[in-house]
Amino acid sequence: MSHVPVPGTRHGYLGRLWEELDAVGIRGRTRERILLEAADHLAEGEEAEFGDPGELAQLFADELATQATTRAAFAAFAALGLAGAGFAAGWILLVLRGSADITSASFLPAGLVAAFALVACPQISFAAGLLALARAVRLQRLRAAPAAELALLARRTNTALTFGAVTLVAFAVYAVDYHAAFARWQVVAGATGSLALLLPLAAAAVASRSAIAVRSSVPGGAGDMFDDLPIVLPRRPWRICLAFAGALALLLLAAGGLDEGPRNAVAEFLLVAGSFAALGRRLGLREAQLQ
Amino acid sequence: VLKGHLDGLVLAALEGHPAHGYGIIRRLRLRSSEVFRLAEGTVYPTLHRLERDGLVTSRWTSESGRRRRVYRLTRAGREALLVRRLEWRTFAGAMEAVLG
Repeated sequence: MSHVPVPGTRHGYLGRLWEELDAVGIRGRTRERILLEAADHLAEGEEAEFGDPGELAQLFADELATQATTRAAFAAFAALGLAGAGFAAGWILLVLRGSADITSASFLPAGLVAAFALVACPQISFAAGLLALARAVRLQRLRAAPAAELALLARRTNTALTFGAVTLVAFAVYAVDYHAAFARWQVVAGATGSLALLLPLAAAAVASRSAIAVRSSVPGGAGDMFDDLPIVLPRRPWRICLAFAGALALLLLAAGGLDEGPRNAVAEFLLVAGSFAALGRRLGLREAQLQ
Repeated sequence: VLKGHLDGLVLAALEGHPAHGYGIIRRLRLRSSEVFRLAEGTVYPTLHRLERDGLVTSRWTSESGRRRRVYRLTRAGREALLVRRLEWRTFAGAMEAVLG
């Protein structure tokens, strides 16, 4: 469809419909198409029979919000998958010649922060991305999902993208700050590659921002993790979190041996429990905050 | 009650005859002997959703200088209509049997 000015949108019914569509976040080609169809309809029909512009705009928004938010979540997960694959490849590339001594950074505080971020942020991004994916799969079957559910989905998506982006930046900082431990080509390839991978994440973030702009009015609660899982679990989020953290810690204990195992296990347990405490409500792992 | 069946009604109105939004409203009124009088604009969110779901397709046409969006059923739309008819007949038969 070509972009053409819709006649009659400055005043009257079409003008009010234009404003109402704008108010619920429907813009661009979608709004243009709605207005063109309305203009054609009203050339034969009566305005009074067409319905209230506000109610009509909200009807569109209720359905489009669900579609846009779930699509944005799928796009974000795909972008994160690409970033994750690039991150793994970059990590392998960087440690070809062995890992850097943690104290060998050019600027130690930045190196330490980057190293911590490289451990914590990918895990948080992955968890938030999986939660977003689970909810998007469930909501895509609904015609118009509750606004609170969509808001939680958007929060998960944005959290996954934010922590994914921080991971990539931390990787670039790590490569540069510990450059003495690596070959020059490794530093350049690692830093530029990780920063280039920010582009798909940025594109997904833009899509998510556009999706949030479309405002659903469908009532209902935000739900939590238990509504999204395909299996039924007892609604005891903290117990499940601690069991999960414990299982991960045991895995790391077994993998790390006597030297590094206990340290890694304790660090992972604290990381998972701490992240749950800090982000559990935001991500709907336990009862979500209302908008 | 009508809202819950709008998808099926719109699909039925398009069966065999492509139409624009206003034409669909007119068919619904005529076939229902003016009983189905819904806010006419509400047919458009339904049409857009049916298109997203692949049950109808649409394209812009030009009639006497006017641009009109004409909708037609897809194969999936025809199949969906058959399913909705079957469901409705089962439901209506059960209601008839109960209400007498």
